[in-house]
Amino acid sequence: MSERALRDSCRTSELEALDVLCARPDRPAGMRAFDDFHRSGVRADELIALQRGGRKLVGQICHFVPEELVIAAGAEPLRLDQGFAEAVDAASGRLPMDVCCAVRALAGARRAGCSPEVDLLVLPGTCDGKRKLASQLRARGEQVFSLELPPSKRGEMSAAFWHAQVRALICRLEALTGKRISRRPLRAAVELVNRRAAAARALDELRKRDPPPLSGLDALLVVQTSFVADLRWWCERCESLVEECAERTVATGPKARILLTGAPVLWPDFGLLHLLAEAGADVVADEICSGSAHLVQPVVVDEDTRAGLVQAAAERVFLPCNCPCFAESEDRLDRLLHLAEAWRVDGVVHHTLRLCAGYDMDAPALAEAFRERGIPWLSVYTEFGQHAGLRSRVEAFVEMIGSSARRSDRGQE
Amino acid sequence: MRLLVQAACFFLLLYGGFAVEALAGVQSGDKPPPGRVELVERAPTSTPLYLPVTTCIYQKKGLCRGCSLYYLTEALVWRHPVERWLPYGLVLIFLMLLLGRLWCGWVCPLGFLSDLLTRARLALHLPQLRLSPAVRDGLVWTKYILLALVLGLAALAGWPGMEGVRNDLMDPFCQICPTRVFAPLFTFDTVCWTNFASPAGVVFTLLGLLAFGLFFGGLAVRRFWCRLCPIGGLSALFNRSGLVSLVKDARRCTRCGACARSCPLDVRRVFEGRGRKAVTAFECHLCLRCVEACPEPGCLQFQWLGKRVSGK
Ligand code: SF4
Ligand code: SF4
Ligand code: SF4
Ligand code: SF4
Repeated sequence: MSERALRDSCRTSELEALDVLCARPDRPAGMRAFDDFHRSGVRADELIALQRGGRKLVGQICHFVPEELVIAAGAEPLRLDQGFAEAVDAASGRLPMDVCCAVRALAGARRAGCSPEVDLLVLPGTCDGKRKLASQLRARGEQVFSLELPPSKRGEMSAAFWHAQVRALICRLEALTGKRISRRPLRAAVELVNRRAAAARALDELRKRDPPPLSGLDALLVVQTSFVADLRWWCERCESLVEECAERTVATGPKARILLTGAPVLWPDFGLLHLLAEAGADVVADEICSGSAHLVQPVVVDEDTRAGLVQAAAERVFLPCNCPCFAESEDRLDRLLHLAEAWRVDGVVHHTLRLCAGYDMDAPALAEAFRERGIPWLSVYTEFGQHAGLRSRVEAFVEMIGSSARRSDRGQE
Repeated sequence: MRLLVQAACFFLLLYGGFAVEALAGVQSGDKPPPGRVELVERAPTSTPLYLPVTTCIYQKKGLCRGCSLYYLTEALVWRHPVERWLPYGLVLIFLMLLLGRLWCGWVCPLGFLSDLLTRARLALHLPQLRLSPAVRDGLVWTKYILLALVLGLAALAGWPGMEGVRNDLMDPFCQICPTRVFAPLFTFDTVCWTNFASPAGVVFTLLGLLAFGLFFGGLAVRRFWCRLCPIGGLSALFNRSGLVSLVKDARRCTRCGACARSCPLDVRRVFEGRGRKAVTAFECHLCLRCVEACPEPGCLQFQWLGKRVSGK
C-alpha cells in the first residue's frame, strides 16, 4: 500500500468507528463535541498552524512524559498512541513478526505519516520493542528521546533513576524550545493538568452509578480525545459533559458491569468494548493505560518551588502507574480489587495484546485472586482490528454473569 | 491550621508564665542564672510539670519546669526521693502515651521555629535539600546515641563522690540544646553563649555553638534539628502505642507517593504500608500533612483513641 493510500484507509476506518459509536442509542448530548472533534479532523490543521506559528510539538507514546513540563517549556504535548490495524501491516517486512501490534502500528504510522509530525518524539523504555523502535525512527531522521524506566518501581533507587531521567528530559525540552522551565509557568501548567484530572475523576465517579449515565465506549472516547486535543478545550467539554451526566438518568442498565484491565485499548480500535456492549455488558471502570487511570491522578504539590513542582510532576506519572513492565502484580491486584468494589462490578475482562509478556504473566495470579472472591474473570487476547473470534466467549461470559445471583444481589451490596 | 496551633502553643509555653504571674500573682520563683541552673529548691517556673517538648528550664518565668529529657537528667543527677520524681514521671508518661508525637508536630516551640525556617525558605522559593536514604536513616540513631551519652553523663554526675564535676555535668544536653539559647532570647533574658570557666565548659561551649549552627540546617532540610533531638526520641517510644495512629486502607492507595513527598520527616512507612492498617512510624510527628496530601478519599486517616479525627 502506498503511504497516501494507507493514510486514507486509516482515516476511513476512523470515520467508520465513529459511525458505529454514534449509532449507539441513548448517548449524552455532550458527546457531540467529541464526535465532531474526530469527524472534522480539525485538530490536524490546528497542529500544522501551531507549528507554523513556531510552537514545537512534543509527541509521546504511553503517558510517562509529564505534560506540565512540556507546556511550561512553551511546547504542545500530544499522546500518539493509536490503534490502526492498517498501520500494523505497513510495518511488515521491517519489523520481526513477533513484535506486538502496538509497536508495529506505531512504526507503520510514523512511516506512512498517519501520525502527526512532531518536533520531538518521546518513547519510553517500557519494553524492548519500543526501545529498539527508537533507534529505527532515529535512523529515519526523526527526533526521538528515549525515556528510560527502571526495571522495578519498588525502592528509592528506582525513584532516583526516574528523577534523573526526567531531569534529562527537561534539558532536552528546554533545548528544543529555548525556554527555561521556570517556576511560574510550571505552576500554571500544573493547575491546568489538575483541572484535567478533576474533570476526568468526576466523570469516573459518575460511572459508579447504576445504571451509569454514559457508556464505557463514550467514556473511553472522551479520555482518549484528551491525548491529542487542546487541553483547555478538552477540560471545558469534559466539564460540561460531567454536568450533563450528573443530571442524567438512564432507563435501563447493562446486564453486567465490567471492569476492563490489561493492555491498552486504543482508538479507533474499540472492537472489544463493542463486543461487550452488544452482549449487553458495559465497561464501568478501567485499569488500562489508555484509560482514565492516569488521567485522574492530580499533581499533588507539596512545595511551590521549581524542584518541588518538577518532583511532583515526575512522580505523578511514575509512582501510581501499574504498567507490568515495572510494577509488581500485587500493586495491580490491590488497585483492581478496589475498583471492583467501589464501582460494584460483576466481572473482570483482562485484555492482553498478543505478544505482550508483561500483561500475560500478570493475568493468572490476578484471575486466581478474583475467582477466590467469587468475581467472574475473562482473559482475552487481541490484536488491532481482530476481535470477531472472541464474540462467543464474550457472550457466554456476559450470559453467565447475567444469570448468576451476583447481578441481582448488587442492590443490597 | 497546624501553624496556628503551633503558634498558640509557642506563645502559651513561652509567655504563659508571665501571664500566670500577672493574673494570678503566683510567684514563679527565682529565675535561673544565665547559663547554669543551680539546684534550685523552689522551681523557677509557674508549675512543676515537665512536658515532652522543649519547655525549657532556662526560660524566664516558664510555665513548666522543663522538658522530658531535663526531667530524666534531673532525677539522675540529684537523686531526689521517690515521691518527688515519680508523680511527674507518671504524668509525663501519661502525656506521651496519650498524644505520642503530636507533641512534636503541634506543640513544641522548637519544632515551630524549625517550621518557620521552612516557611522562610519557601517564601524565597528555594528548593529543599533531601537527605540521602543512608544519611536520613542514620540520623534516626544519633538521637538515641545522644540520649545514651546524656543519661550516662548525668548518672555519672550524680554518683557519690562526683560532687566536683557535678556542676559541669548536671545538664549535659541543655548545654548543647538550641532551646537553651532560644528560650531566654524569646523571654527577654540574658543568653549565655559561652562558658570557659572549666574544661568541660569549653567543650560544651564548642558543641553548643555547633549544635546551634546545625539547627539552622533547618533552612535546607525540613525539621533538621528534630532528626537529632533526643526529646523527640523519648516521645517516639510511645508513638506506636496505638492510642494515636495513622491508619491506611491500602486497597485505596494508588502508591502515588504524595504522602512520602510531603512528609517533613521523610517517613516512608505511610507510603510503603500495604495490607496492614496502622502505619504510624516512630519518626512521625503526626503533623498530618500526609493525610491532607493524599488524593484518594478514605485512604488515610488519623485516629485518636480509635476514633477518626481527620481524613476524608
Ligand atoms: S523532635 Fe524535639 S525539637 Fe523537634 S518537635 Fe520534637 S521535641 Fe521539639
Ligand atoms: S535546654 Fe533543651 S534539654 Fe535543657 S531543659 Fe531546655 S529544652 Fe530541655
Ligand atoms: S498519598 Fe495516599 S494514595 Fe498516595 S501513596 Fe500515599 S497513601 Fe497512597
Ligand atoms: S508521616 Fe504524615 S503525619 Fe507523620 S510526620 Fe510524615 S507527613 Fe506528618
